[in-house]
Amino acid sequence: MDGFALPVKKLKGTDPVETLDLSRKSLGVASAVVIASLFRVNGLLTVTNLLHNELDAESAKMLAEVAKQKGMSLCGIQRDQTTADFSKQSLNLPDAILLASDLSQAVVTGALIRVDVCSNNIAGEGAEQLSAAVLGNLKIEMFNEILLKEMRANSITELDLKGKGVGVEGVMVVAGLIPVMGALTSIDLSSNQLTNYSKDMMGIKELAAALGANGALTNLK
Amino acid sequence: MAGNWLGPEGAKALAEVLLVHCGLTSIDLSSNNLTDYGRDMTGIKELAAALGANGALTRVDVRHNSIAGDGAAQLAAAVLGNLKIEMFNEIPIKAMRANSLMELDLNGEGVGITGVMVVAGLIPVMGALTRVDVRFNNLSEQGKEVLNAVPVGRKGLQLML
Repeated sequence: MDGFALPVKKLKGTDPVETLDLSRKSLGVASAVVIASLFRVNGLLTVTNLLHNELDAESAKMLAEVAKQKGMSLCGIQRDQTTADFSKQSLNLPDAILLASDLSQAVVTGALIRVDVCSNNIAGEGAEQLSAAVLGNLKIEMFNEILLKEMRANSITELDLKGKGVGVEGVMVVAGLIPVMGALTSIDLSSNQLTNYSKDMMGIKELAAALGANGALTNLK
Repeated sequence: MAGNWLGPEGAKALAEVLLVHCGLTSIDLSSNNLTDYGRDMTGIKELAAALGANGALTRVDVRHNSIAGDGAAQLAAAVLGNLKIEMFNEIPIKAMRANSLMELDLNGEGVGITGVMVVAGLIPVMGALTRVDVRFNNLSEQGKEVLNAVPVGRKGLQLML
């Protein structure tokens, strides 16, 4: 199917494995439907990697729905892994949806405290889902170069993210944390990719809305 | 916020922040293509309106955004009308208003037409000024005309365009 013979027994659990790498196999929507149905009956599989295939957003969401029921990684994140670097991998929208599924589940991210998805030009729904997942997962301490732990603890007065490769998903995370950063007086977000070259204004608009409610901020650059 | 391709829509979003945020004293929106390569001044006009109403900002930088025409005129008018602003596009407004400068060196600062309009608007109160250097600012003929028009009849002021 889709030019790749799916390992059906492993997917189904009759040949039990805990980890299965199906990344970069040109898997399309039809494969995703089969994989999702096999995931449903598999009781052992906890880590799969379906990144860099030819899924669409809908099939990625279908897989994410099953993965969330099963507590399963779709991006190869091992539960004892502390860092995950997905930067500069040309992640597309389906990939972002799969990753958001992983990051939204504390059981899947396990020991993970640092995630990097910089330089993927993630925008739109992908950025929205990823930022929501990161904001909701309190175990993640650093996302891209953003110090979530310190920001959540309101222990930062000057947020220096100059030239840190902050993209749309990053600025959405920053915007989401501004309300709890009452001590913040200065933000430097210069030389980043906050709008994906003016193509996606969602993040900057969220940031603007959040900034309007932060009374202590004096310096924005 | 410099260097983020905020574009006209980004300018509008930040203009809204300036309207509601009374604590912000410094904002840097330079190098953000706020006018879509000089084609769209709508965001700049909203920024100008916000600057006109904001009473907290002391430092504003919107250089390198191809601001021109009535966008530049409205922004310059807003800056000149806002007495809290001390520094605009690296132009030392406060010192200029206080007539404490003999020389104004803006050589290569990228002040833009808006900056030139602001300088032109303040020259009349800068009686001590003897020299203005705005060379290497990529000024259009419009910008040079604006500045050249001001010191007519004023002796002892050297303009370096």
